[in-house]
Parts: sequence; structure tokens; C-alpha cells
Amino acid sequence: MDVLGSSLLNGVTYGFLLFMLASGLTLIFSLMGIMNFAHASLYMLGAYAGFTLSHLLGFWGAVILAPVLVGAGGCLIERWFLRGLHARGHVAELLFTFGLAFLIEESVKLVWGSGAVEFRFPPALEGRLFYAFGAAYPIHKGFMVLVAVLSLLCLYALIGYTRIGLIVRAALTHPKMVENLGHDTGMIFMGVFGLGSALAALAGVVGGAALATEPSMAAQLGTIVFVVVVIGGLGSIKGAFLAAMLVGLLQTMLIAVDLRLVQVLPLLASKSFEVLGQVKISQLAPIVPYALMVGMLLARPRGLFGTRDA
Amino acid sequence: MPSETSVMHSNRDHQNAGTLLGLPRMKGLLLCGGMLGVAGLVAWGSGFAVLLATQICVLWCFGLSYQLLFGRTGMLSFGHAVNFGLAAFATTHAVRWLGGPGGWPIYEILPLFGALAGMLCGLVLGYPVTRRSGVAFAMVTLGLGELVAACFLMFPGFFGGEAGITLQRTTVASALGLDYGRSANQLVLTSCWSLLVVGVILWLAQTPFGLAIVAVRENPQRIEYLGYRTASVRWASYLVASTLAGIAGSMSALTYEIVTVDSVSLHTSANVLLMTVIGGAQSVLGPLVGAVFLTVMQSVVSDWTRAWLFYYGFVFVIVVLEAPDGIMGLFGRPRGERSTRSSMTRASGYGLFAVLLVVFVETCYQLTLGEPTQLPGWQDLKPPELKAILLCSGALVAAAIVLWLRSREVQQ
Repeated sequence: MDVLGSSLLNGVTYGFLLFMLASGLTLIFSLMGIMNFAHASLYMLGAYAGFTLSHLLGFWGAVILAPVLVGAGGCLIERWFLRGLHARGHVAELLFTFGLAFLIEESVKLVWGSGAVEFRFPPALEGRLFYAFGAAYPIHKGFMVLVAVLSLLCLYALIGYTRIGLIVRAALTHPKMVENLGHDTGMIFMGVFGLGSALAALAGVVGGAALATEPSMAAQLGTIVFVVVVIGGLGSIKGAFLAAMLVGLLQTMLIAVDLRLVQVLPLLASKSFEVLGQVKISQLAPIVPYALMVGMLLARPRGLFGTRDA
Repeated sequence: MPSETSVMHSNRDHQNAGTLLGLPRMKGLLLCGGMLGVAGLVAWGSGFAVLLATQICVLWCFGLSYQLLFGRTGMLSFGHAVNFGLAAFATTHAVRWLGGPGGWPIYEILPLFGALAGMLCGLVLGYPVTRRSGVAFAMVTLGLGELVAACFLMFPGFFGGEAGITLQRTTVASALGLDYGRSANQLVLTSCWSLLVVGVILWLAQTPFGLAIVAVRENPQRIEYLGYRTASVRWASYLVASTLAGIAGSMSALTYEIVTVDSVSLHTSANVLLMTVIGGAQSVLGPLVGAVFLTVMQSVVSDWTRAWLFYYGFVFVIVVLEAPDGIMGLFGRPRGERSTRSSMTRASGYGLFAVLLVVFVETCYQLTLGEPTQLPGWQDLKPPELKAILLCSGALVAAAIVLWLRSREVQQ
């Protein structure tokens, strides 16, 4: 029971981190049709920027300034590179962001070295928030959840209840019409890309301090974030939230299960399925999200809450 | 999203509709030169050069299969290494099973096992993934690649766990009586198979199938209207590409005598994508140029600097932005589009920028890692001097990038 409870808590926490990344990515995808491969790299850049800024301004300054810087960088990427590529179609954009992700990873190694850097939460966040299921839940995990919930609420309010949000939503469905009405869709694209980048960087500052700030952190989360966006449905923040929770919970819960497949599915007990039956359920944890993604794309390309196909 | 594919390739059809190579007159020359090079290497080359040439052949073959999928059919796959890697594993198991005294002398046709394994992959995995096209196809293949790579801990018997599985190519007897313990003989065999693959690709381009896949890339809606099933055409293309990738995979297993999970991973898929795009996805020689580039970077430049991956990625990004048809595409451009003088200016501009970038990156490396770089004279520099160089070269690189972006804006 304790194991179940604590992995439930950890899964939800991890899900919130995934959600922060996925919400920006799904917005960018639905507005511009770009599957931004560099999104997780911006998350990593956020973590490293946070690390450097925390030496200059302290942790709280870094939490605020790192997303601003990376968001501005995202705006420049959209303005200078992606906009020019737009006429050549989505595949060119996909290739560019793929190369960019590669380049950012190598640049990070160039500037900060190829090992992990020592980026930790300030002592104020190091204590224990509450004690449950035989394990302490640290304050910094609570802080992570708090940041994610706050950014979710801000995003929701911004998209749902402001004039800017109204224009962005209109540009999602009727970009030509919005342009004809005199709105600068280029500015909207740039703004949304910058906002998504800033959200990723915010997740990076918090996630980098909670997990590890190292050059492989982008690759670890990169494809999982795609999984979340695809399962949730393109452009759906609600879907991204549910999918992030689903993936976060599945990954942490499955690792905690100490059973072999044959113990769950007695069908596999026969000799011919021995190899499959001996597989541990915990070994399935890295596979399940991708299986879900492939299945979802094949069976229902619009995802859980999406309104159009991938 | 059918419209995107037609937009994406609309700038290409005038150049490559008629010729596959982009360089019809030079192709024979280049191929002959390549074969002479192989023969020279076999006769006099050092072991290292022979190994490099073998690697280039394997990568060319792999790149050709990717070129068929991505360049011809317009399907951007992030999981092509699945076919390559699974075929490599299958070949390794075949060698371990067939090898030993008294086995059949079938060494020369071992890549057929890879082709068979690749074909099976194409049949089983290809069917579902080719139901989608465009970005959805890219995503499905990404997921599939990660799925297969994540399976390796589950089936240690097949994948050999972290360490991978090894083979000894001398355990299978040769039908021709050659000693494949000598790497030169392996090179000859590999280049023969690569030429066979080139022949298949060139032949396919002229068949109705070869035209159908280009048509599916250019205008899927119209092809559907004409009575083809685009999904079936895509599946057929995937099937051929995975079969050819299987040949490449088994040649790689035979060359290195080891296969690890890395060969099915996203890393390998990314390499073939980067290599093919850099070389040029529209011509048969493009993957060769890409394979030479990757091999030189991986084996020669990596000895010289630890930043070789950075340069590799940088070249890729520049190619995506400036030369959508890769290095070969630059040669195939119609004359008169740009004057010789302005292209000379451009080339010297790029050269100067490359020197500046290398100075900047290497200085940065020396400062962060504390390891002296291979730039001549750089070892004796003190940190303050290095910092000054870093600032100057960084400012110049930034200025050059801004100028370049400006000129792009003007062009648009």
C-alpha cells in the first residue's frame, strides 16, 4: 500500500512536470503545425540558464529570469528561422527543429561541460512538506506542483478570458480570417512560440533542480513529451493535462510492480510464450508510453481531446 | 495534411524530374573513380583506410534506402534504424547458428538474411505506420523506434542486453574461398553489395513503381483520384526501403562483428537522416556524399576535436536552411541562377565564417574543459588571452550570423 501511495504521489508530481512541457508544445503545434523537436532542448536550456542565474541572482531570481530569457530566445528562433521555413512546409520545419535540438545539446556541452552541474533548490525548499505512505514528501516537489498549477491557471485564463487569447484561439481555427481582420499573425506566432519556450524553460528550472541538470536531460524527456501531446490531442490543454497525468502515473506505477507478465496473464504460461511470460512488468514501464502513442496515432490520430488529426 | 507535401517539394520538381542523379554526365566518372579508389585501397591501403571505406559503403547503402523513403516518397521517418538494427541482429544470429565447421559456404550471400529480416520488418511494422503520412508518419515512426529500442532489456536473449552480441565472420565459410578475416576482402564484398543496391535504386526509379512513389509525394490527392491507394504505395516504398536497410544492417554487423542496441536506437535513425539530408536526399550520390562526410567527421575529425558533433549539427542546420537538396543539390542547380563570381564570394564568405566558428568553438572548449585543443599554437595561450580571443571571435560570429539573417530577409 505504501509503495502504491508513494508512487501515486511521485507519478502525479512527474505528470505535472510533463504537463508544463506539453502545454507549450501543444499550443505551438496546434497554432503553427510545428512538431517542435527542440522543445525539450529549451527545457534543458532553461535548467542551465537557471543554474547560471542562480549564482548571480539567487534561485528566485533565476526562476523568474530564466524563462524570460529562453522565451525571448524562442521568439528569435521563430522570427529568424521558422518563419522563413514556413513556406517550404512542415517537413522542413521539423528537420530544422531536429537539427536545432542536436545543436543545443552540443552547445550546452560546449559551455557547461558534458557532466551534470550542481543545481539544487535553496535550503528553504529542502525540508519536508508532509509525511505520507512511509516516505517524506519534500517541499520542492510541492513547489513543482504549485508552479505547474499556477502556470496552468495563468495559461488557461490567458487563452480563455483575455482579448489576446481570443485572437490566438481565432488564429488556431481561422488564420486567414484573423489576418484579414488586421491582426498580425506573425506576431501571434512569435508570441505563442515564445510563451511555449518560456513555459518549457520554467519547467526546466524547476525540473533541473529536482532531477538533474545534465546534457542528456533533453533526450530523456523529448520523446515522452511528444507522447503526451499526441495522446492528449493536438491543441488541447485539457488533453495535455490528462495525458501527462496518465503517462506520469503509468511510468512510475509500473516500475513499482514486482511481478512477471505470466503472473498477470496466465495465458502466457505455455512453453512457447516462455520468453514473453518471463518479462517483468517493471521492464514494460519505458515501453508503455510509446505503445500508447503508436496505438493512438493509428487508431485515433486526433488524440483524446483533439479536434483535428495529427 | 496533403497540401503540405505539395508545397514542400514544389521547388524541386523542375530539377530532378528527369534525372535521378542530378549529375548525369558526371555519374559514370564518379562511380568509376569510386571503384578505382576501392581497388587502390584494397591493393595498397592501410587497415584504417580500408575500414573507413567499408563503413562508407555500409552507410551509403543505408542512406540509399532512406533516400528512397524520404527523398523519393516524401516520408520523413525517425525510426528507420529499426529495420537496419533488427536485420543486423538477425544476421548475427544467423552467423552464430550457421557458423562453425561443416556449415554451408554462404558467406557472400549473408546480407540476404538481412534483406529478409528487413523485408519482414517492412511487412509487419510497415503496414500500420504507412497508414499515415506527413507529420503523423514521422511521429508514428519515432514512437515505433523508441518502442523497439526500449524492448532490448526485455529480451536479452535476442539483443544481448547492454553489451550487445558478437559474431566472428570467419566462422562462416566463403563460397569463393576468400579469407574474410582480411578486411580488404570484406571491403570488396561490401562495395559489391552497395553497387547492387545502387543498381536496384536506379532501376526502380524508371519503373512505374518509382514514378508512383514520386507522384504520391507530389500530389497524394490526385493519385488517389487516379485510382491508386496512396497508403499501399507508401507501404510498398517502405517495404523496399526496409529491405535495402536490412542489407546495410547485415553488412554493418559483418563489418564490425558486433551489434548493440544502439543500432536500433533513435541515435542511428538520426544519423541516417542527418547524413542523407546533408548529402542530398534527391540524388543517388547524395547519400554517398553524406556517408563520406559522416565517416570523416566520426573517424577523423573526432580525433582532432571533441566538438565534432557540434560542427556536424551546425552543417545540418545550415543545409536545411540554405540548401534543401543537400550538398549534391548545390551542384545540380541550373546555371545562370547565380553568377560564378557571386558564388565565389559566397563560398569565401562561408569559408571565413567556418574558420571564425572553429576558432570560437575550440577556444570555448579549451576554456570550459581545460583541455588544450589541436589548433596550432593554442596550447601556449593563457586564460586571459583565450578569453579575449573568445570575445572577439564570438562577436565576429554573431555579427556574421546577423548579416546572414539580414541577407535572407532581403531575399525573401
